[in-house]
Amino acid sequence: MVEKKIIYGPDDLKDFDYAKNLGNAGEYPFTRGIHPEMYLKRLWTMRQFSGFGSAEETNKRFKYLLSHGETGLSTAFDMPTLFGRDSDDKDYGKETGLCGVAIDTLADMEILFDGIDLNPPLSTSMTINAPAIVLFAMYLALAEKKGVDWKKLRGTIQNDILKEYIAQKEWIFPPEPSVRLITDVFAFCAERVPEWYPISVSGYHIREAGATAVQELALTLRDGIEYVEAAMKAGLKVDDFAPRLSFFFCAANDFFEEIAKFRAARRMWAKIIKERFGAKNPKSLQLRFHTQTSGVTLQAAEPENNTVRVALQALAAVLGGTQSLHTNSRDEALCLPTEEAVKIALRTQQIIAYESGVADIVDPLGGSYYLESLTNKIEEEAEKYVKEIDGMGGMVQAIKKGFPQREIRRSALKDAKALSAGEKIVVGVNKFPAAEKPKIPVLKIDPEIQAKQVERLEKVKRKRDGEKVKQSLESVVRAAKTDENLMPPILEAVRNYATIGEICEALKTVFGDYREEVF
Amino acid sequence: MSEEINGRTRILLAKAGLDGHDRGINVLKDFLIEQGMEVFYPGLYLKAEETAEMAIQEGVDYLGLSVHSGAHLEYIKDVSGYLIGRGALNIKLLVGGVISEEDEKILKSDYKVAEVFSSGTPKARLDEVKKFFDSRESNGAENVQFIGLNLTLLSSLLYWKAGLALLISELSNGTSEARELVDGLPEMKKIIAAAPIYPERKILALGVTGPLGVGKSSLTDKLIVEFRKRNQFVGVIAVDPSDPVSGGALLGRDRTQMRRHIYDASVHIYSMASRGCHGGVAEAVPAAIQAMAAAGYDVVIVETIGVGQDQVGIKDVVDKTLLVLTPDVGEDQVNKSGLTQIADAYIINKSDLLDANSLEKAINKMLDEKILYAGAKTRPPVFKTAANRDENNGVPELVDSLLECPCGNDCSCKK
Repeated sequence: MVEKKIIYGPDDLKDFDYAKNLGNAGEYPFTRGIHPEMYLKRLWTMRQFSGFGSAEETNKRFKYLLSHGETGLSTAFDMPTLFGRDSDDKDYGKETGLCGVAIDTLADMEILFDGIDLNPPLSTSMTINAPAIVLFAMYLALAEKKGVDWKKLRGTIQNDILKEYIAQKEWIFPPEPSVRLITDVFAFCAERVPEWYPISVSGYHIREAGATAVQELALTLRDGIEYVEAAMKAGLKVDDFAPRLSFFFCAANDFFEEIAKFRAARRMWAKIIKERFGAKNPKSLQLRFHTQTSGVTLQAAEPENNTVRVALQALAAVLGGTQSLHTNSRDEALCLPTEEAVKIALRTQQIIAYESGVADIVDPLGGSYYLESLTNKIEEEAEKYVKEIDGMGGMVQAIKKGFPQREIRRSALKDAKALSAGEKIVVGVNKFPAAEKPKIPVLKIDPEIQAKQVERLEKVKRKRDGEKVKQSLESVVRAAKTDENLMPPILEAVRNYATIGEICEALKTVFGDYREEVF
Repeated sequence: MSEEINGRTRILLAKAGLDGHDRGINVLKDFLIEQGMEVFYPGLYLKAEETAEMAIQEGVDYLGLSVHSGAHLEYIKDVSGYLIGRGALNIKLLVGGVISEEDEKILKSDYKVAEVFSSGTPKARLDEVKKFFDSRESNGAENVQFIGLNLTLLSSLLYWKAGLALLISELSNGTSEARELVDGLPEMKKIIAAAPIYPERKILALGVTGPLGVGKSSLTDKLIVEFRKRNQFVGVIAVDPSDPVSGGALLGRDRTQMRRHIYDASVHIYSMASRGCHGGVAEAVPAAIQAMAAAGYDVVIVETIGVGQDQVGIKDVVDKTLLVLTPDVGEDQVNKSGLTQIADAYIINKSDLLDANSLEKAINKMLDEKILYAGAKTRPPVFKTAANRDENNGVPELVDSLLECPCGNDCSCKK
């Protein structure tokens, strides 16, 4: 955590210049917010990350949340899908449906969104990285079938592979071909799916892996810089794709530090895009982001306390000007969310939005001696990291050297020691621990899920045209060997009901796989 | 109860399946090394069997499995079954991650898990973890007794890797019973008779040394391949430095280069920490070589740390020392005393990537000017290798030379 005093005053903001340091909301450098009216014009999207078991079960959960007032969808996939494998995978098929929804082919997507209108104002976020291009192709193919115009289609794919090597650790291919897949999606969207966010540059996972707020901010923005450079190298103009970059941050426990972090993020990114990359379109300079409250801060002991933790974290995200928000459920440390737990989490957002008054004023904390001082400090510290990684030759090089991974390890160990020494306090755990252990309902996954999914997959394989699948996979391999955009051949494969495993295996034959070095 | 000098606890940390939540396991790895333990962490996405096999070959005291995916019962079943099936009954299981109280009971009763460190509970805090390990008693004498009993019942150490690894670990801990067992093995063989499982072979001990980054582990990997083609049983002792302050170590990182051999029944790779020993080796290396020889291995490759010119300890411990260099090491290195003077053979690696001629000339010039060749009776040969390659890498020729007998016959004098 950034060093703090006990009280802040005018001395802490001696050279403060409103126009330079803050600006009005909706004006460069956007510290106070990316729109002039923020939530008065439109509330943040309430988007609860969901997915478990089969496409039917997740479809039911989507509908449940929409009926209770959620305003955007967010999809959680199971482990095999995240790693580009099918439910009948001989090594990892047993993890089907356990931590997210199992998707093998377009057929599963059809069920997942059955009865849901994909036209705006609905937007769908998909948390998928290494095989993001495949899932995106499936969503596009589905939209096509449902008669939704791609030019209007709204949503996001996370598609941020760099943070995988650093923190979330879900990879398939090595860094260079993975970045190529990302820039292929950028180019395709710029031309064909202009309302879509082809990336959500993430700091959430970096934070949850142990990083401090400063590290989360610095590493995320530096990842962003790496993607902008890669896209420009691939021939895209910054103003063509920068307005469609989005980000994803964590909302952890230190209330004001988090708010300061969000404001510093907007200011830093605006400067980076303008000064480093020469963008002219004002939309390119706006950092728009989704926030998730911190999972790692929630406890298994006294789960009802988690509702309070989430409320405070969510409030910080709103005061920080987030465009979209997921609030964790109180049973986060025990299982995937039950219906009652996720409803409480959604209501948390709604109460903040409609009852607290906080959303009726733009950047209400602006001008606070503490907050502005903290915002400056965080930006200053984060800038140092960005420069250091620049000095190493960029993020891919830094990852190969193990730099971000080691920095996170150090912070994680420090945090564990602080907890152990009692310097870090967790209520109900190391302070006021309760002897009683009340039970709360826990979500159970259908133990037959893999068997059912494998049966469905076999049916799809019997019905589809095997020859067409074979040919489309060959096209994918051919395109992977050149610098042809991989979206069209993958789209074709997906329309023919090729499986995610088949497509990723095909790509692996060209790109190879990846194994991390332990630091 | 035997006195254990310089004994260290060895632990292999592992995750299972596609679970990538590695914050906790990495914190543990760093903390336990700080506490003076020897830690193996092979990284993410290895199969449960592979981590279990590694634990067996490394003779660890504990295998700690971290599972946040909910699939802990399945994976502990796999790991526990694998260990028991190979006679590794001494390796204690520990589990961490998202584990419910009822599952904790099942793990302890059905799978003999020694302790469960459920995420977020007091037991999982670092001070409690330290207390757990501090309270454990070492039982070197019982371990050796266990090996001895099973040798008479089961099979030889050649086919029981768990027994051989445990023996080497106890030799490293200085357990006196271990020394006695190794010394008594030749006699024991005579008693057990059944000659085919105790072949009378003489072991060829090779030292692989050289500066950091020259490709020692790659070369060792290719040497194993080559010896296996000639049906030899190969042991490897990879020495890594212990942290001079904490006494702990992160071991096994060279195993990645030799990964292809993990399930080969004729190959046993053991990673040893230097434990304060200078000279590039560890004190227990000679005893470990003796154990592998008694078991019936044909070749043992000792890979040393090899940093610095004073790391000549390897010379006294093996039959032949291979000094590995690369063309960018610098020819002035060649004329320095110490490391470069003890070689029985000079290996110029990465010769496919860099021009080796200049270095070869420099080595030959140095050798021309010598009157006595340290150790070797004849002038040490110079080889060019490309150990990153599977084909045409110069290693078959190197092995031919190593197996050549100075008396000219195809015999086993190997000196």
